[in-house]
Amino acid sequence: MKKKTTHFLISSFIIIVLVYTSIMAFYAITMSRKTKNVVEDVATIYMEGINVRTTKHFRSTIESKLDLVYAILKNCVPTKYNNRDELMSDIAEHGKLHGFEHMAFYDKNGEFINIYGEDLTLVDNDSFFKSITSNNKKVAVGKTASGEDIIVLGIPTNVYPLENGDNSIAFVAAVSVNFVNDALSLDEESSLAYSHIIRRDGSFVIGNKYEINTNYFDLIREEVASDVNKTSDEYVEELKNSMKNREEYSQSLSTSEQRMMQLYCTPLPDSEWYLVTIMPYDRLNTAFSDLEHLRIFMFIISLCITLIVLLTIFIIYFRMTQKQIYELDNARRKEISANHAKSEFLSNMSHDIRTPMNAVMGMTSIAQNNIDDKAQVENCLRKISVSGKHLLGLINDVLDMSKIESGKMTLNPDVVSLNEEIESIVSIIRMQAKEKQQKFDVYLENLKTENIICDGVRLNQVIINFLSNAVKFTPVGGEISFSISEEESSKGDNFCRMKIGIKDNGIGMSEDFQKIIFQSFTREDSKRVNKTQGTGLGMAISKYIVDAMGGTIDINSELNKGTEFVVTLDFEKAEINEEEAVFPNWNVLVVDDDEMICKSTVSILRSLGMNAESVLDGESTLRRLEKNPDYYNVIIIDWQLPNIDGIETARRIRERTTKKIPILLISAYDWSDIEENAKEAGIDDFISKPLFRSTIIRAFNRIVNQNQAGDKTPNKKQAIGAGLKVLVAEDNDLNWEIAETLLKEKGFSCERAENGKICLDMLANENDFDAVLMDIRMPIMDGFEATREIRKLGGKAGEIPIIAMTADAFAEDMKKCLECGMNAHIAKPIDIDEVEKVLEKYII
Amino acid sequence: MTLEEAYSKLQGDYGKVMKLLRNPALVKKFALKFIDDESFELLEKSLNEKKYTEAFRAAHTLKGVCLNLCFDKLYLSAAEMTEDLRPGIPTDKTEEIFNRLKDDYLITVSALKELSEEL
Repeated sequence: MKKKTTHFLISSFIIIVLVYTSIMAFYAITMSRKTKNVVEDVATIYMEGINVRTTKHFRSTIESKLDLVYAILKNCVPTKYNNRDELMSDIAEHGKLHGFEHMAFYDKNGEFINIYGEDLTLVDNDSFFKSITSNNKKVAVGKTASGEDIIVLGIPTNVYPLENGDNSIAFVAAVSVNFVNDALSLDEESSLAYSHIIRRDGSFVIGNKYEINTNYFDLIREEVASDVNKTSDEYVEELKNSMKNREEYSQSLSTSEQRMMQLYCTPLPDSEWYLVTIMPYDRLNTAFSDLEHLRIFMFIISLCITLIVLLTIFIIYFRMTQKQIYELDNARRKEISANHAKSEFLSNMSHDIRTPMNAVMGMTSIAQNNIDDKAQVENCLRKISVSGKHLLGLINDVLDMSKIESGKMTLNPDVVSLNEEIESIVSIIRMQAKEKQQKFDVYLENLKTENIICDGVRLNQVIINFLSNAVKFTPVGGEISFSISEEESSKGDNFCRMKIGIKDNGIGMSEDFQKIIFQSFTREDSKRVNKTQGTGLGMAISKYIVDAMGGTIDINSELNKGTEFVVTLDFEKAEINEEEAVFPNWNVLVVDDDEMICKSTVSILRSLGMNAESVLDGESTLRRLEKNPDYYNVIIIDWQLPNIDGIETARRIRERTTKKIPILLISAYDWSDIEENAKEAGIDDFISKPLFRSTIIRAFNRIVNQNQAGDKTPNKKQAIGAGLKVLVAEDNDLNWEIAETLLKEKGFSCERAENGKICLDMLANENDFDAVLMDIRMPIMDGFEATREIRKLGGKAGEIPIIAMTADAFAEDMKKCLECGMNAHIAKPIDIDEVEKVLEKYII
Repeated sequence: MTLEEAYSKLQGDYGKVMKLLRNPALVKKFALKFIDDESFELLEKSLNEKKYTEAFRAAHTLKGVCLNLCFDKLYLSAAEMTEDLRPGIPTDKTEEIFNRLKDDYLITVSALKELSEEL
């Protein structure tokens, strides 16, 4: 897949580059050719313009000179003068004034009779003569005696007498060639082109750069290289023909040095001359080729930029594709591994389910076979029950997991007593650990907050899961410890951070397994754990719950050495109006070999207003008492102490003191085993580990009560019911009688409402009830509706505690009850203790 | 026939009911009152008249009574009946369940009658 995409991308990139480059190349070549044509066109148009202008200029220049000559002639009429000399000098004066270099008369023999200036000879006297005799004015080129080229203007006139008596046939004035040259700016350096004036035979009239006596045609033959189309001779012939026909001629030529130039030839009026303008392409070409270079340069730059952009886009796209492919691949791999895990889970599950199921089946058939042997049957039933419980556990786990996976699991935070929570956990685990003869220690460190807001059931589930695992995966005789320490939470003063540590010295986990421990359906795949039951879901469930509570789980495990889990959770502190207990200023001695327990207990006792001290063993206790036997008011002793244990210490204290000091025994274990022994030794009461503030308060409350009232401690529970009136909404007579009997036994007085409507009316009319026990399914008006209506009554009735009592114990029913405005829900059968507890909670 | 024997005959949980009511005399008094409880008759009548909502309520009440008295066997049948009737329409199993419930009910009542006659 990856290779295919790469291949596709590279080939399409190459194709795009090729197409792009050829389009650009085609464009460049076309443009370059076109440019050449344009240069020729431009040159032709330019030179045509120049020639037309130059021709006009030539004509006007010559005509202005001719006009001057006419003016002189008009002015200097022979009759005006007395003699010829006078005439001549006046003409000369005028001529010099107007810039003519030479003036003369022309006689019928074709001779010049100088007025002033050097003698001159015409280059082509015949044609001049011909024009004059046919009474046409003529412009021609001549030479002075000093060899200078000169332009001769001849105007036919016969008014001037000559020395020999004849009259002149023409008047001749001449100006320097340079004058025409200057006037026409033929040799201007800055101009793109330069011009010559030639005669039809190719000789120069004005030849800027060239020797005047060379022939222009020869020059062309010499300098112009023959090209593919025509030889230089042919070009010359063409030019000659055009000149002969007095037509314009334009041709681009190349010199033998490969320099291109444009030739443009136009006949000049009033003369036998031709204006030839040459424009070398060099300059124009330079301008155009500069443009061309710039264009090519820009083209290459734009090509490069386009290619870079294209390449970048391709690379980005390529990377994106690669990433997608990678992700797709990853997702597929994940799916495969999830499927694998699920099928593995199924096979594990079927193994796990089959094991207890086999036990159930097997035990059932054994029981059937020994139906008369009661002991045997009982044994079988017990085993069936154990297997059944295990199956239930499996199914619960699977249900939890499916709830999590479908996103239906939510937390129900409530006020939870950490104390009770830990006690219940510890009592469960202690039993499990005891069965495997494992040492189980509980450490509480710096616990200040007792009531927190959290989902107690789920928290319990998580901790029990970790602890049960610890028990499960630690061999017989191992050690397990459970610790909770409180720290300041980063969430603020209203929160506390609990670090819950679960540590064992069991089989540990491999590093690979630690990475996937929280995935669903995973169990360490090794022979070591095959004998241990489990679904492989517990950790995933725990992880999910801890995540949902916003906590973290850290693992520290080494194979065959043990495992430590640290669960860190931030809990909101619950505001509990715990009546602050203040005790007399008693001197209390705490005896425990664990220094930490001593410290925390002493600090709790001090905070309760007592003087507390601690010692670490029995001997020190006895020594202290010997010194000052009446000093202490209460002694708290740990059961397990080095050398002499707590009970023995107590016994010795009793032997040595006459005063009856209350002695409390701290015991981590169920004290029923040691109760008798302890009482005998003079122990007054027990405190169970862990020692919470509330545990200590309760224990001291008992001592205070005993001191004050002896055995006449009032039964708190009976006091609750006394004088309280409960309305029981129940349609069934039998159920009503049972409820009535049980409630009365507890000291409640009660009345009956046969259905919801009656219940509502009773509450609306006379309302001295303290609570309502409400059946749900009743005729006329059911419990839900009755509750809604009662809540609408307002006043005292609107707030009266309503407790549902129904045969349905589904979670949905409970939810619906609460939604209708009921306070609590009790499932049937009526357990009066539970009813009492709930009533106590809501009435008082 | 003792109370405990009667409970075992009607397949109830004597231990549990004792724990709840605490007093054998009380248990006996309430158990015998069950003979006069009309929930079953109401259920039967409602079913015959095809009043299923009422039948559901009757089954539910019967279930509640059985729970309170720990008549486990009858409770299970009543619970099944309740769930069957909860949607308010009969299913093809309704009759079968009712017949089973009726059998259990008759066994229960006969056991209780036996108990009462011995007095």
